[in-house]
Amino acid sequence: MRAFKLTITLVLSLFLIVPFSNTQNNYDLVVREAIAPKESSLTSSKYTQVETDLRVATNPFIDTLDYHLVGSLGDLSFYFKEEDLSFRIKDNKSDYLWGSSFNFDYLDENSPLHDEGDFGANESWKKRFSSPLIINYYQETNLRDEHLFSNGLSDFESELIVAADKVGFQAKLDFYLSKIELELMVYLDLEGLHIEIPASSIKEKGSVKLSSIQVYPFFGAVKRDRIPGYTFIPDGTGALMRYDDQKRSSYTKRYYGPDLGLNYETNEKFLTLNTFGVVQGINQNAFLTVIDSGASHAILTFSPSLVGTDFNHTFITYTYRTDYTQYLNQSKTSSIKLVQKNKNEIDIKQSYYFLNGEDANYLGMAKKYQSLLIEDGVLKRQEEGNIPLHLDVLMSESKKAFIGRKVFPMTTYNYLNEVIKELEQEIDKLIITLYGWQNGGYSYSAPNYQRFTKVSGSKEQLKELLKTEHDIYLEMDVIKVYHNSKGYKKSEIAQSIGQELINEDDYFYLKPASALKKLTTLEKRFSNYGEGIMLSSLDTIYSDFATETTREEQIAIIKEMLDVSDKTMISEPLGYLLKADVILNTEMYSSLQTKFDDTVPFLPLVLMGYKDAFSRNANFFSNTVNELLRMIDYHLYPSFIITEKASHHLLNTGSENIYTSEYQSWKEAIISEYHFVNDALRFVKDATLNKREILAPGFVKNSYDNGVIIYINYSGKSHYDGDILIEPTSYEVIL
Amino acid sequence: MKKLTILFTTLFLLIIPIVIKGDVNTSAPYKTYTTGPSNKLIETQTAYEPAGNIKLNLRNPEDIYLKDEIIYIADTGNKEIIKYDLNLNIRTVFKTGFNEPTGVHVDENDQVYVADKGAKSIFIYDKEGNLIKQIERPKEPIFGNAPFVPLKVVTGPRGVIYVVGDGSTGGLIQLNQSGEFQGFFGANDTKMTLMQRLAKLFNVKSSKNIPVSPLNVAIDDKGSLYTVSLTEDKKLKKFNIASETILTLHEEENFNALLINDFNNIYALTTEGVIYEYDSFGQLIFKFGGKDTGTRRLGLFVNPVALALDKDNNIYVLDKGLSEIQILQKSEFTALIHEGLEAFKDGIYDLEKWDEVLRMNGMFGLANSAIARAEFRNHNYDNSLSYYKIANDKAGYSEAFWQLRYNFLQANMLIIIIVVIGLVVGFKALKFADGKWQIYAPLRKGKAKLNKFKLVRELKLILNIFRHPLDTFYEIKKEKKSSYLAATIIYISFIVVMIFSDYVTAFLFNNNDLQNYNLLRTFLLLAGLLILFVGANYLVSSLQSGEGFFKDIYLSTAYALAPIIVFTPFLVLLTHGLTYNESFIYSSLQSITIAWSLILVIVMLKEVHNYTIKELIINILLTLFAMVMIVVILALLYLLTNQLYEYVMGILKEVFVYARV
Repeated sequence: MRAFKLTITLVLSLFLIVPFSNTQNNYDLVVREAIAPKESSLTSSKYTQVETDLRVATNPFIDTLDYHLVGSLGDLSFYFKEEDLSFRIKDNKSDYLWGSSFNFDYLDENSPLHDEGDFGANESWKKRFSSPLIINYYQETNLRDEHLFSNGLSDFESELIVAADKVGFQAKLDFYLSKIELELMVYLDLEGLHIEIPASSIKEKGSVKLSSIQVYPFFGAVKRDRIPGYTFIPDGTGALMRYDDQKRSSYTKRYYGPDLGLNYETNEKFLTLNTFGVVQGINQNAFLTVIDSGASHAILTFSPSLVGTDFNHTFITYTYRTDYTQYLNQSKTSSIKLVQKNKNEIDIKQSYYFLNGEDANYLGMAKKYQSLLIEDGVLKRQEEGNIPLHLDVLMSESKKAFIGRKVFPMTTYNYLNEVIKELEQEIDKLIITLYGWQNGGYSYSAPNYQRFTKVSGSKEQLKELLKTEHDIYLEMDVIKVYHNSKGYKKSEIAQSIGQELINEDDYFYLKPASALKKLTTLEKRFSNYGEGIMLSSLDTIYSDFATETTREEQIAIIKEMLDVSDKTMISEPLGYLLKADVILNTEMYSSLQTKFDDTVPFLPLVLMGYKDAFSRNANFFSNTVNELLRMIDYHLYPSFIITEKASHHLLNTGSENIYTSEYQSWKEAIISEYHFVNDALRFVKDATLNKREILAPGFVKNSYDNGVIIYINYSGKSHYDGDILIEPTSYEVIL
Repeated sequence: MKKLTILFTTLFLLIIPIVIKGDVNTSAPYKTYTTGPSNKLIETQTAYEPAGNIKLNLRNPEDIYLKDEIIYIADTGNKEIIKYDLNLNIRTVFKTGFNEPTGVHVDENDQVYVADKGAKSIFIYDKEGNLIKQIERPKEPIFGNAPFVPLKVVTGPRGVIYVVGDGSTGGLIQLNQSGEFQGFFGANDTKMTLMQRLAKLFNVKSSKNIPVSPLNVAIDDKGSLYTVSLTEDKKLKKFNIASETILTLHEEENFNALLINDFNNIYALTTEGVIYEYDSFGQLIFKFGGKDTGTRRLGLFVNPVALALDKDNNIYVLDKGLSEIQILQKSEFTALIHEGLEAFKDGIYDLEKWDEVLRMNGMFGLANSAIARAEFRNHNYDNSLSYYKIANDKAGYSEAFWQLRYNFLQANMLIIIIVVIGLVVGFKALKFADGKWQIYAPLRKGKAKLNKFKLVRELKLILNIFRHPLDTFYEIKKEKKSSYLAATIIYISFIVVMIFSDYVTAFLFNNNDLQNYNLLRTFLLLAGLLILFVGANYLVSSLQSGEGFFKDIYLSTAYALAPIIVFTPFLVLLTHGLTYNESFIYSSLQSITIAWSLILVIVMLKEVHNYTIKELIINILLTLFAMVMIVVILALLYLLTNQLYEYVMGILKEVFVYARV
């Protein structure tokens, strides 16, 4: 009997080995020549540019005459002018002045501060420049604006704040036309400058409805191109817009993507972090603004010089109400325009952190933002060693059958186990995400996660797979659900402002509280498997008008979701998701608008050395070497999507956009591309950047805090730094 | 209703990719598509990435031409021709003083041709800018009253000049180097409406259709011409020297510029900013690009009007709206495909390269058909067969299948003959045995037992239809030899056979989209059609004093479908052994079966209602008319009910909204 069992096991094991030794499809990796980007590409906004304007920055447009020194804290001093609620901040380390408004000497044609082609300013504009806030409101459905000095009849009173840890002022503003009253607090503490407008202080005494508030729009303004500098915006991975007097349109974008509850859409990358920055004088003076509260209802605007005004200015607009079209019939031919009834209860809290010297650039801003996250416990220092590899594995999908749908396996548990055993000989740490591990196949079954699918193998095989010491995450989507799936009730779907169910194609979005409840149930159900959870669709936030949940409240609920399981993983990170243990699909590009001058890796720099962040699946790279170099430059780890079967089986399923994934054909590329990136990043896995220099277009020098230097040459020609040669389309690590 | 909308929206969305949550992850602001299996558009790696732009202080430029790393630009607004050296990045003015230069071209001797719309002339300059010739309106009498307003110009071998003229409905204007008119070339087709066709039939004069004039032209290295026009179909055409169309391509959007590269790939630009790249056979390789939505992103266009290619096949797009040239750089993936295609042109089937392309995109149609062709050449016919199937290349599949079948027959002919002879002998022996020893007796007893059931006798009537149709119909009508149950069973078998045929017909002869096949819908459609016919005929016949009752029509029609029911399964099985070479066998057999059934239906009508020939014809026409009317009325009813529903819902919603407000 025993011999019989032995022979059977031997025969069966042959069946396991044979598929792996029999390379029927001999995919010899054809070595392709890397195509280096053209010079015009390297000098476009796709890459960071060489800093050429190193003039010393001076700002003759602001001074402290007529300003009263309220106090100093740390290295900053606060000056205040009661008459118009404007203030000046002096950075005592560099003696540089920042101001919320500016002098009007330049308007005189003979002044040395006047430039040819200046728009100038009439009295009305001068008042606007000096106003601390600009309010937009709805009168019926018409949008109007008012600032503090629009008509000279608005009332305001202020009192100073002088304390050991707080220096500034508090003011009550009463706008005459709109009859809106609110409280404004501007103060310094040991961290930096803070501006607050609590929601509870806003009173609408008249019949008009508050729409939005612009906070100190001209703080940090730069006239024309007199001061070399730029505004940093967290568009995608990060972008810079320099003050070159050449831009002809403004930049406006809402933080954290469009609000589906208000029927907004976009096809551009989102603003990923609740921040922006201004540099005046490269490596001289800068500040980073962080929106502590209200970011999801905030809009970032950068208005360059010669677009309406002579000043480059960057500011935030907080939106309280919007108007919308209410359709009255199915065919959408009859509609009326209405204004949102209840305003979003958001507290405005904006903080400015001042930087100087070597920190006065986007890298310094990233490190400052990183330090704030470290304080909050969101980031933890990584350990040194080899970098991990991430694999997305599609287990099963469903296809239309004769009647209904049929679930078929794309990868079996056994096969995945073998893949892990094969890869771990080359790679220390694997992080694996399973998609379609549930019984309905990947697409069309969210949020119905009942049990592991049987088509990929038996329970024993699953247990064998889960015994591995590498981290496995189960993908779950409790927010975006398929309309035909069973796991939700119609009453759990969120509603947009026009009382329509929020949907995208055939998928509905659930109310945040319902999603959290589902996740808690699912975590309990699958907790004894001991695997992590990958949460999908967390980057879509929307105002739910069924439960009157604002996007800010949804963000709080999402943060709770990240606490439900011990190990969480998210994809396409936004600021509020950085608490997750593993981050996938980190952006490597910005929206590439032509008014951008550079793309900078702000988001990866924030995570560098403190979080495992992976780029998008390398299967879909078209210029592989260029993208891998970008990953080394930005400190992102490689990720691949694999399946056991060839990807043409995914045609006519919900995953047909995965056009290449067969492990057999990707095996060699996975290992070689992993080593390409690891051979650079393993020396700096736990390090942060000290300096990022662009020595020539497409030639980057990254200097890390542990002394390692990595050169990256994207271009098609060799570059030298001293006597170190870096070949075209390659990198060099100097230890 | 909602399900229908969802169905239609999903279908709609499947065809047109709508970007709601956009391209959050790629290095280009557009997705790139290629042809996948079943000619479906599938996503693929970015083929061309935006690589910056060239700003040259242009004003409403209309055309560019790239030769030897120098771009010539027709700067129409500034009335001059600009030269830009790509290597040195130097901009120079080539020539000023034009009226409205809209087209520029450079021939192999570096002579520059400028089409000036305002001056209605073609100017020819040498390299240094000296005027060689100014060609004005041809004076040859055969040119007639045709207008001469040159928009674009290209030159072909032996100095022939082709001019795209505004309003030149005769096609391209062909001139020689001296400016002498040689004829019109490449006119577009016109489509005659039904009225015009009828008029032509009866030799009655009707208004003539004027063809659309071509919009732009390109020429390949062999001298074949390609034009794009704003026609309703065949928007892009390739001509041979006899001005006959040898290749046509058509897309939703309107083409406005095109270019042919060294290995005869066609690059076509549309007004929507979408760029198509086809191979020399007209198969779509890449589709990408798009229009800017207001935020001016790198890689999107405002008003693209012309294309150029450099020696590495990077694309330069002239954007009239932005007055600049955008550069799209070829990716490594595209380089791989181009290398494979270039090898094709030399007759080399590089399996390794195409394997690598397939590795990068398992569904890449071109790679699959290339590998299929390569395997075919290497005599690996079964491999070739599977790749042809994925590439949905039926012609290739047929050839590979032919080879496989030939090899199979060659190898097994002897065995097949032996088996067939054996079977025949065996049956004869059994029959002989039956004669002697009655071995079939139990079978005969079983048969007799079955015949006792009325239903079985009724169903067996089907077989009589083949030999004695008229008698059978008579028996059904007068002698009550059938019943509702039997007929319903026959109808259901008919539907089952049709669905069976849809599913089981071999790949070569099956034109159904099995992936999206809606079983319920087909069933309802066929059942509805049958009921419609029977019902309409009954209504019409009762008005026409036909003798048949409803029962007679219902029952007899079922039996008339007998040929289809009986023969289709055999036909379906036959398709699994045929190739396109024998497709006439399949199609003729299929036609015979259908014709037979139709004839039976007509005969049935005559018999059941006892009509004369004249009455029969009227009956058939009226039945068809009645069927159409019934469908129209049902559709109307549905629409009206829908409207009513929407109206009521609309009122309720309005009340609700106003009550809230």
